[in-house]
Amino acid sequence: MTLQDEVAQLFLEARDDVYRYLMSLGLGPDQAQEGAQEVFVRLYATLKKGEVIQNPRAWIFRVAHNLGLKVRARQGTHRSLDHDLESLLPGPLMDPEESLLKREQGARMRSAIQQLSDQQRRCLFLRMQGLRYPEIGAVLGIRASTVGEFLRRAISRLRKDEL
Amino acid sequence: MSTRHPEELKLIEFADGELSGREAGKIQRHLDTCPECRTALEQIKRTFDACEPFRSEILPGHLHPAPARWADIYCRFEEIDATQEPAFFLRWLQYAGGAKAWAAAAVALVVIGALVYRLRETPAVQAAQLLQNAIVAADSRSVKPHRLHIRTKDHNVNRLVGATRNALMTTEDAATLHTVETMFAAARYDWQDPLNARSFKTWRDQLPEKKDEVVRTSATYLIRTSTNSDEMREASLELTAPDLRPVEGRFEFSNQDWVEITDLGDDTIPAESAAAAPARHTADDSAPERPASSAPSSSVPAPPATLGDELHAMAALHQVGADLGDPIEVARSGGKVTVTGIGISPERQKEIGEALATQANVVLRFSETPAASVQREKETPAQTTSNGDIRQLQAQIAAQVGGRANFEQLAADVLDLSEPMMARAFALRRLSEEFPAAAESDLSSQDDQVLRTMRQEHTAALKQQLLELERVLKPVRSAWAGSQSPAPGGHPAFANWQAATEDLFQSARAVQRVLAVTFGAAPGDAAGDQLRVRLLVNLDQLHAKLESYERANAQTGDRRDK
Repeated sequence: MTLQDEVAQLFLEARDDVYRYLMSLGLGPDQAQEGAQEVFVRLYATLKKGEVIQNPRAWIFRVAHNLGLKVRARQGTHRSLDHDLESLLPGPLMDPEESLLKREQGARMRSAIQQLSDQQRRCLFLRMQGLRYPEIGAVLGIRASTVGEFLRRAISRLRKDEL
Repeated sequence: MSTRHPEELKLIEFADGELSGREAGKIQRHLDTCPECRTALEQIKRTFDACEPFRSEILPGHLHPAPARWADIYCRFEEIDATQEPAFFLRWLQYAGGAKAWAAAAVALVVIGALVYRLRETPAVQAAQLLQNAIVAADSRSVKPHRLHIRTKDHNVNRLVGATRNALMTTEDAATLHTVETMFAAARYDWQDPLNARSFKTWRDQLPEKKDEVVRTSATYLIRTSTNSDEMREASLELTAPDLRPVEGRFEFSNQDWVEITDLGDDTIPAESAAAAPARHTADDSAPERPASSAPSSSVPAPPATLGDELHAMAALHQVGADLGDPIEVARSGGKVTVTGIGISPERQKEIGEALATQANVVLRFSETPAASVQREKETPAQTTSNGDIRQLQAQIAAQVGGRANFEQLAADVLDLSEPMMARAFALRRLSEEFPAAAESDLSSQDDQVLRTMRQEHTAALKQQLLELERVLKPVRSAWAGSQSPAPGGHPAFANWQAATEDLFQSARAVQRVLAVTFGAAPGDAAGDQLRVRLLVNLDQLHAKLESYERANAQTGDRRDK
């Protein structure tokens, strides 16, 4: 398998997650898709230079995070995830056939996750991507212990909502 | 069985497999005998599990799908492969000087602009390529004598480069330059013109092994090369993005020495004047100073730093937890926000530098020796030992919690918890001092929200830590149930959150002080009973102060919103 094949494989597996992460940072769909592609191209370029990347998945999210913030700063916009969540959960996009249970679950989830701070949400999201605390810390530019603290606060908040 | 319940954070880390084997084993042993903590762990796991459908089902199902088909990523890879060759037109520029150098320079500007644009868009920005381009760009400019400002650990000196004459300098200046020259010679780095892409490239090219990093900001490129095979362990060169002109360099050596060099521009003032500017020798001034933001020193001066700039710097520090105990001071002076760190580890310096990298008008300074101005307030107890009464109280607590070993563990837990709690109290007080009520109105509503968020986060953490502290102290408090705990008094009303902060801070400090004395971390002379009552009262008071603070905070916010 060539280097191109390896990165392309990872692209297939993770591009949607990176796209969603960039959306969560406040990028529009076009920018998020373009950004997600750019991240994998950078990964290829970096590996081609001979650099060793221990955990490409963590690296991808770190680069995506920085890229997302730069794009946002360039635009001077500060749409938060809350804004995007408006379009995420039960609303016109919901399939009418979807079960009531699932709809309720979605509504409760939306409400609970909206209560979290941006950093708490990002830590939670990245944890769900399988990243370890030090890796999440590297993505967000915070210490691993701070990641734990954000997750603890997130969990405390979500538990209050009986999730 | 350990009677101390692990903190919630530890349980979460345990659930996520983030603990070391030893720590995990300790938690597991506790869980084996503690149904309460097993239940707590189950709840944590359930909560995490409940989040999973959010990622795997709900989020993908309801987030906008990617608007277009994903492009063929292989095409982009091919583009990368094709960009390895240097741009031919820059080579051409090397030969376009001579009689029409001015024309070449004009063309160079256009070409460099295009090149910079291309580099920005190309993900694979390589250090070697960038250095080569910077050399070409430098060759297209006319050579003029220019001045360099050189900083070492303990001396600052200016130096002329590209002139046949030398600046007048003191013996000390000359000795410093000689030392630095020797260090550069040992590393085979050209000292004649150290802030030069060619010198950097020559040094870099000779390294048998190296690691490069290129950091692109809106106004600069930073090339950083590190190696383990040379006297110079790391060198970085900052180039302005518009014309690839070197403006700053930092050079670190194997013996921990470092040298920072800043380009002061063309030598338009007499050498005597340059030398007449005295090198700074004070402990404070020995700290290396560099703009945290990427704006080159030769660019148009930025407007003076505002209160908002200071707030943004503090918010950036807050993001990396650097407002919680790191010896860092933030102040506005000379039109800049100066962030000063004392005795910060290199790794932490890097984190802080990165956090502030995008902040405008921020100057970052680190030094290795503590300065009185940023030392955290410390209690200086008059006594040096605990009295017999306190030792008796400690023995009582030990009996209540099942022995001396458990007392030691309890003491460690309590003191561990009180420290971050105080860090939050310090952070809140710093905010109230930096943003007094009179100045707060200068903040935009957006900045005001940033400030509010920081306050809320500190307050929530402080509250959580207080609750945790009380949970740990519960067995002791239960045994003291009969003790009189005088009412903490009414809830005073404060004009604003700043006034309430000081009250909260003093209350938190009182709790920390009484805990330190009770658990043997600080000497004291109170009677045991007195201390016990004081502990109960102080804890209750802290709750009351927190409530008062939150009320004042909310009222300030309401007024602002109106």
